[in-house]
Amino acid sequence: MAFTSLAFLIFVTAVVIVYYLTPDRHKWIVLLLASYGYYLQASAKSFAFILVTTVVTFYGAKYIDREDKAQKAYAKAHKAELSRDERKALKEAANKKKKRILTLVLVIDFGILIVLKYFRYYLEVLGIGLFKGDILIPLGISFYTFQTTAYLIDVYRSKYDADTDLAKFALFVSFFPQIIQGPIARHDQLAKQLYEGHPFRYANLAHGSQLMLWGFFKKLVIADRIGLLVGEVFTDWDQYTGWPVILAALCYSIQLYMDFSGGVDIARGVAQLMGIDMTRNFRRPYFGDSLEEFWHRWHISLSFWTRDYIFFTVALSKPIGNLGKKARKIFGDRIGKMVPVFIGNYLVFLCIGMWQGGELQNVCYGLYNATVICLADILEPYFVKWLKVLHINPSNKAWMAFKMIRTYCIVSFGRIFSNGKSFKASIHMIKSLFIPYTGGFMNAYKEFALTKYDYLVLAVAIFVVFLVSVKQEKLYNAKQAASGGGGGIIEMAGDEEGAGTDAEMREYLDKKSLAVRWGLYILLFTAVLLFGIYGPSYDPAVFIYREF
Amino acid sequence: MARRKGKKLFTKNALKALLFLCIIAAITLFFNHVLGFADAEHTETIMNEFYEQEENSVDVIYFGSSATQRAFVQPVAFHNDGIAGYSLACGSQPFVLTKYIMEEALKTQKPKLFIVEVRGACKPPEELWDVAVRRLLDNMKLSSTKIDAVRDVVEYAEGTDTGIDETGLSYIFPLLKYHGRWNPSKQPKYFTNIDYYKGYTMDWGVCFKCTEIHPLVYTEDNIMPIHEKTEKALIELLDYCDTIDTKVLFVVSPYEASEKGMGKINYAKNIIESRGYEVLNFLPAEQREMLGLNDKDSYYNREHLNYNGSLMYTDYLSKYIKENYGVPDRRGDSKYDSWEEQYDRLVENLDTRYFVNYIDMMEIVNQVRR
Repeated sequence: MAFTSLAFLIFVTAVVIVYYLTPDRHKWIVLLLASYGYYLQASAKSFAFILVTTVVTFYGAKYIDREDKAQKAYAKAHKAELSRDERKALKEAANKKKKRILTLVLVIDFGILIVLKYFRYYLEVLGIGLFKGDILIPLGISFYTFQTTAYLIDVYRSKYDADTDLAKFALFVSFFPQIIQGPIARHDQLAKQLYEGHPFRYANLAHGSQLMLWGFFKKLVIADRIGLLVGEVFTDWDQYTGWPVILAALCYSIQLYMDFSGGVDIARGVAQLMGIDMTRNFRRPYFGDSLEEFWHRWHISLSFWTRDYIFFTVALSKPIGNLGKKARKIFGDRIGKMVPVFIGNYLVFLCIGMWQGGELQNVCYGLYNATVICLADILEPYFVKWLKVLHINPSNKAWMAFKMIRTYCIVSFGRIFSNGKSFKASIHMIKSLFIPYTGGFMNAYKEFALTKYDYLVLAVAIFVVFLVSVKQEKLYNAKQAASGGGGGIIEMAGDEEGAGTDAEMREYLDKKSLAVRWGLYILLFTAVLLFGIYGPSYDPAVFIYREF
Repeated sequence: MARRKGKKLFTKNALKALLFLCIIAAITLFFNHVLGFADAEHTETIMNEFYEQEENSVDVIYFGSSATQRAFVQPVAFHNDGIAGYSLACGSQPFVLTKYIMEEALKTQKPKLFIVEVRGACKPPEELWDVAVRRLLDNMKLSSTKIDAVRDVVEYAEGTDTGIDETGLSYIFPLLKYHGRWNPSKQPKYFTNIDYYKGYTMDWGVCFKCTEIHPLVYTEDNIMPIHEKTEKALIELLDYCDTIDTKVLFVVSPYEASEKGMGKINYAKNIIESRGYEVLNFLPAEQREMLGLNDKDSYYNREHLNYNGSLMYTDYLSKYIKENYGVPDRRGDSKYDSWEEQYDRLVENLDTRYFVNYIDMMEIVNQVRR
């Protein structure tokens, strides 16, 4: 049941109706049943895996929480009797136990993910045919694994208490709008909203529908249309050289953003219908003026996950700290300080690359991003010098625009790896970028399966998204400035908690008159209805057939 | 006070939402109508005109594919023998849908006889064609018959790679299929050299051409089973025929059948005859000769009679059904004037438009007329 299918819309409508007809305290049961129902119809054979992850993580977190509380309670009750060393020993003993359970649960959760998603591929690479037939990859396994492990680690770090109700926790793991493409929710951000019933509010229905409609527009009108061009070149990668490859690489970045962010908008819209605010996963990523900033704006929930659970864990660990000290002696203070950051970055981007699959081209994608970011850090003082020499004002709008375009090109280049059919195909395509296309413009143009009208629709639709994005960015920055934030990268860290709900755009639209709002929505709906790529494809060729 | 205010706000919002949904529905229906597509070349006129026929005015309804559209010249059958018939056929009409077109036809007509072309029963589900399904269903009015037809055809095509919409939804809501028709480069190109006369389809770009065919020798011993799903569809059709008052005659119109095709025709023919229905089979050479057909100038291609051949076929079949199925002669009855009008139109078009570019065929046809 794809998000863009009529069946999904009917399903959502039914769930929303039942949700609001159910008493508040039982509403979570409706969501759990809907989520499990959705999961079963989509991936019944792999249902056991999500159950195992849910149960293991729930009891693991519960044990860790109990152990933590017991130790603290004992220490408090016997404060007078225990010496400082004894208290420390008690704490260490409890930590050991907690760590053992944490490790065990992480091994189980990630073990399932690794075996099902990666193991087979690597065995095949090594020529070991251990598995016969297809291994079923459970629906949303990466999303729910990352979400549950984040919860477990947060409980371990005493960020919040463990969940006490297994059924409710099962809902947190399997909430149907987010199971396919996220965002990866944090327990303290989402769980309470799921468990408490939300009364009917017209505004929720209106805002949810708006977000869904916007998602459909991005996904059906832009992503699926531009995908016809991208798919052609990336599939027949050995047939093209020169500008078609450049065009496909640049267009793939648009396709991926519209597809992914459109899907997340639909998911968040569905949740919003029931009064549940899911964190946003994108913040106009192509407005980022460096690759680093791009990653702060792209797939935010994954970026923050890797930051909180990989980067900080590694970069702030003792061994890496010691390595940093040694590096300072060898490379000097500036570079040496960066070494722990670089190591953290490489691990983070390796994870981000492999999020998409274990293939070599995905590993390369991760390493490419880490390398570019590290190089940018190393070369930063030289960039500043060059700007001075060339008399370029860094806050100049043209320079900012250039940086955004440059970042877009860097991102698009890297994605030749992530979207390549294989490592060989990716390398071939990169080489092809520099070989002129000799097939003639019109020949390639025709092979892309897009008509001139499709190009026109794409141009207008992308321009609309651009205009909306500019408005959103302005509203966001104004809101940040009003609340004391400075804009830019640093405040992004706070984005996940509060500002991440597109509220500013909603507020902006709500202030418009009914006629303007309805006019916009009807226009958007009509655009999706007419220009969306959906339903069985319409092929005129078969209709001009006349030999009966 | 606050409660009353809340109630008022709720009512206001509910009305607002309802109004918005109504606008959305109206837009959807509008575009469904504007962009909805009917294959004008094959079925649109045939189906629309059938719905426009005066109630209970059609005595004979002939079902089949493009061969049927071109084989039986309805206005000539009326002019010569008083048969008030209508060819309710579409190009590559899916045999599995025959039952449902019959059901649809019976909603407005009480015909004396249904004639069913058997050739379609030889085609397996793999040869089903999404376009052919649409030719029929896009033009069928929305009713439980149409919904049943969609369900059946989707089930029939299950497991095949025929392009059939597995959900069946786009047959009910054509906008799902045709919403891309705003794109001028995705518009079908219509041919203008086709006229319709009570379902008889005069494609004057091809109907006056002659192609020599080379039919194989027909033997009844050649039997080849048809696909089990098609056999099931045939049996269900026969079961349905058992329940209606209208008589049913099955025909295999003349064409150049392959060895395999003949075997399947024989297989289907045996099933039909075992259920007590007659099958008029024009595959044997003596049958074709009896009609006056010859392999050289009676066909415009291997599967279709040209105008010359169709006149001979019409002459034989209309007399046959009149004598054997008691189909009344309606000539002289003002209720059936439209058939005579169609005949006059056909004759006028033959002389002023069609024959202008086909002098040879005019001579052949004039010989038949004499």
